[in-house]
Amino acid sequence: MSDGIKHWKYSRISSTLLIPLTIWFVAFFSKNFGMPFEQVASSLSTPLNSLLMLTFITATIFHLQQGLQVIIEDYVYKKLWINLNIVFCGSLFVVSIISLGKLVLVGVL
Amino acid sequence: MVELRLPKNSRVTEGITWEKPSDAENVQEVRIYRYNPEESENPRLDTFFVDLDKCGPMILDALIKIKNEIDPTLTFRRSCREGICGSCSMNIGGVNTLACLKGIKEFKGPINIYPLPHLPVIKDLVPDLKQFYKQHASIKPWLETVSDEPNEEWLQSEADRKELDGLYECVMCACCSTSCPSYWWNGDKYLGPAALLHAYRWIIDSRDQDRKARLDELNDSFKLYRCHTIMNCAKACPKGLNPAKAIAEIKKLQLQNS
Repeated sequence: MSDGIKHWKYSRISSTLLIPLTIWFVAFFSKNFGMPFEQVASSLSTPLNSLLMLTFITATIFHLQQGLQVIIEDYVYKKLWINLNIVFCGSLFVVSIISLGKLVLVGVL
Repeated sequence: MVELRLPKNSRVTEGITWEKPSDAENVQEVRIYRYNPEESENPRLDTFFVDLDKCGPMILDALIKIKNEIDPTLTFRRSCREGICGSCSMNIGGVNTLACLKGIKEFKGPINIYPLPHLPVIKDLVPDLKQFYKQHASIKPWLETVSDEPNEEWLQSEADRKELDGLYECVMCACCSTSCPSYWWNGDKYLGPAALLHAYRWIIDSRDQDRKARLDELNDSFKLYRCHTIMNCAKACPKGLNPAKAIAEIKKLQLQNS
């Protein structure tokens, strides 16, 4: 279990990144809440919004994986759970990206 | 298997209540953890009554009075009685501190005294600090040099010496490490605030020539990075030091180094 600084650095970078991204996400979400599907899809498909959403999802899930790993190392110790956590967060990321891609495509077309 | 009850040696029972001194007006109730692992009984909490008019002002004075006059089998460590040796560290009123620096008058009602938490108990208030000292030794608490020895001492500027303030005062009482939840859970792999404070003390010593190796040695997700900035260490330190800050400084140096 070496290279503690790498883990520490990446958690700091992702959490700093998430401060403005979360503010943007809350603003975007409250603006579009309750709107018709097509309208949400089209506002999400602008280059800026789709890029911000992509960064938000990536940073959130990466930060989730890092944070859960620390908790597992603290209390569970077993390598199996650390790997399961990577699989879980990886699947979450893939599903989120596919959904985002689909939404953006609907907005563009 | 899930453990539903605490292990036997963690279940504290009611112990002996000693008689109140009959002629005393100013009486303080003190409840002390008693345990001898060599006997089969559970740990117990004995109740003592101390005549404050015939006792010094500190908790340590009360403990010495109890040992001298009430129960000579009461076991605890003490030496300098002025916060320099770090021997009389224990958990008093729920807080890790030095008995010699804690005033009896700071408490209202009965005072509970336990050994430092989450360490094996040797007897009564004496915990086993073997692991703690081993961790201290592991950070090489001495000057590492490669250049030739100077004719006289290794010199240091006043400014460089000032860097060690707030670090060199540590008396290794273990109050900080044993108040740290991260140290409770992973005390075998995480070095704990005391050892890390000392590690930082040697890392930033201008005379030390082994900084990089020291930083590399600590670049480990357990040895250093189990610190989650809980800050219990800074709160517990009876000398008013801040091990959490020292740990944060090590992380910053590692960041520059990486």
